Amino acid sequence: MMDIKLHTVLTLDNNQKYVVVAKTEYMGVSYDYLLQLAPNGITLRNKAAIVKEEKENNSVYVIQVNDENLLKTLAPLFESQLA
Amino acid sequence: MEQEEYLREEIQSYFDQLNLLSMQDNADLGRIDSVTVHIKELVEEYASVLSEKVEVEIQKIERRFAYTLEDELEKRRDILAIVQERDSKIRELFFNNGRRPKLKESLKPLFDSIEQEVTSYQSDVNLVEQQLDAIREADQKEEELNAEKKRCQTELNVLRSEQISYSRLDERIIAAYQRILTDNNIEQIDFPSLIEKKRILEKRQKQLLENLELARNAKNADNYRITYEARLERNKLDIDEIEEKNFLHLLNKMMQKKVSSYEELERRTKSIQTLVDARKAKVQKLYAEGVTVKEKYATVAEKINHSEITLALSSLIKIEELERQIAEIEEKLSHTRDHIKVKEELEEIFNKKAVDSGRTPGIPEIPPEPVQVKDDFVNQMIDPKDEELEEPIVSPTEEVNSAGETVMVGDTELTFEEDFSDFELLTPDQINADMVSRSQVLAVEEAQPGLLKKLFSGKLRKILSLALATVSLFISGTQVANAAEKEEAAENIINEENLDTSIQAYDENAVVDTIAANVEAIMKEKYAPSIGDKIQLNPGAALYTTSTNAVSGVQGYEASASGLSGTDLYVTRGAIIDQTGNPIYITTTHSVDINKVATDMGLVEGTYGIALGCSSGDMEGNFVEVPVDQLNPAVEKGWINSADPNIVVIEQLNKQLGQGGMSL
Repeated sequence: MMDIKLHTVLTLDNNQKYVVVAKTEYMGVSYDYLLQLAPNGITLRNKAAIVKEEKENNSVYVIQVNDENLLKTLAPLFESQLA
Repeated sequence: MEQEEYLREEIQSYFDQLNLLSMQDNADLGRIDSVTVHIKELVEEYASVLSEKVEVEIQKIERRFAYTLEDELEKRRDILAIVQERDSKIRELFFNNGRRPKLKESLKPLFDSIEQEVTSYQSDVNLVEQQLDAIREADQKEEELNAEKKRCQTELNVLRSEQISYSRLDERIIAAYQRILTDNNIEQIDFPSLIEKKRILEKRQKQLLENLELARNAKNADNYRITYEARLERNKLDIDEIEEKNFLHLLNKMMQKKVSSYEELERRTKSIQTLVDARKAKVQKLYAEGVTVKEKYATVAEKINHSEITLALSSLIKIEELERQIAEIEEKLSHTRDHIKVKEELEEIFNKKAVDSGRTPGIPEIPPEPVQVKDDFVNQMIDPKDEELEEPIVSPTEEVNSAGETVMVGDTELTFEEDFSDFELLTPDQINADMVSRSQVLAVEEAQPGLLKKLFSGKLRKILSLALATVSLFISGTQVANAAEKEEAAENIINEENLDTSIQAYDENAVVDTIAANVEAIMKEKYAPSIGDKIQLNPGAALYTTSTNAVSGVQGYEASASGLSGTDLYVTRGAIIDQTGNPIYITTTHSVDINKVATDMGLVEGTYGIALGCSSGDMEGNFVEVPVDQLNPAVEKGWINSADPNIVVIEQLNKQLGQGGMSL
């Protein structure tokens, strides 16, 4: 099964590419701070995402985190890696 | 056209004229002389122009700081080459222009002067070469002497460990003697009465001999003869018994004699041996036909094992000899380099020479802390040949993606700055804006080196970090009750980030502008590392095994992978790596401000990188200063790039001290 690691580039099912700029674990769940890339896989785009990793039937999914409280919790965890 | 070139051509032109004048049927000697004189003047002017240039070049070379004698040799060789080149240029003027003995004669002082200068600079080269040869010889000699010293020292240590003290040895010998004395009741011998008894026996022996002589000469006196022969024999045995006791008495005296050194011990042993030998010879003569019971007394002293004394004494002599040899070697070692001139002495000689010849002595520029190149540690830093230092250059190609956009693929030459132009800011509303709520990950790949480089950029990380700081305010779907709460929350976050501008009223654009301004402010306030700074590494920090890799960003590994993230570390080393990937400066000196060193060295920002060696400190977590030329694996953990945004400064030494740190 695929493993999402820090600084790896993800290609999603909508063909968008994201790079993992920070990664953290909270309550036993992995969360990623993603930054969108152009299709060449190197040019940065002004789009980011905070996602939860989910593994299902040998597939890996990323699920957008919208919960404000969770975002407030996750933000400093990611920040500490970027500061 | 430079003056030098112009003059050369002019001289050649006059040489041609001279040739042509000589080829005339009626050569005009006066004109020939006049042209000759003019050529001489031009050659002197040409030499003068060249000399001025040479002098400038020499000054430049002299200002080069020589760290080692090899550097000094290189300087001297470079100077010699310049002077030789000038010599060649002047001599070349006369190639293919006839012999011109008269002209050459008139220029003799010039040639002599130049030749003298070449010789002088050649002697400088020779002088440095001689010192280097002498150093090599001294190295060889010292190696041999040290090997010999080591051999002596090893032998000495063995002898010393085996050696027993004379007092312990004496105790053992005395104990053996005592057994002999006790076994033979020697101490109970009454020596004065023995002397008296012997005197009587000897007197009686004299009488017995007289009577025996008479009996032998008398007729029919065999009975007398036999009787006196028997009595005489008895008398001899009695006397010998007294002598035996006398011998034992003397032996007793000798055995009881106190000693206080190996030498005295040896003398006593020899005296006993001499006494025993004498007694033994006498007994053997007296009892020539067989062994008598008395012989055991004569040989008893021999039964004492003297080998230990002999060994101890020979060891003692050997020890003294070895100590003398070691002292001699040390003395030689202290003088192996007496005849070698050190770099400073040579510089003094060269400066004096310059002054004597009317030149300004070249004063080398004040150098930074010397780079000590030694052992494997530095080798690994200065020999990055086998490592990939640069990203492979791939020519970009245009491709059309699935969305119909034309994109550049393989464009790894794009710099971050170029790419950054449209990535000045990531506003919170751009988080989760273009993302479907749930997506399947189809592929996970390693980021390309160019992308990785961007990800480690401090600017990008600040933008990403600040976007997070405000994400809870701006993210779509945020349930903030009212604008007042928003404002308060914004202020709190902004205060946490130490923004200079406070926001009086909520204005999304104003907040964004402030964030952007703050990004710029943070960018300006770069981390200025000093040796002794206490830092922590975030999990994303990259560690490297060499300083060059740290700066070029290749073959790194994550701090978290080695358990080093989140623990207190110290900056123990600082290395400045130039554009070619070579370390040009390294220090472990406490409180040295690396950025300041780079500035003092005249390095232009962007033309060098700084690698920092991290260590864990001692058992109590205190900073440990390490030698510059030797790794301390107990504390040293790896190199990091000083620009790595994952460095969290816990205590910045020079900031704490309120000063710029030590400069050079």
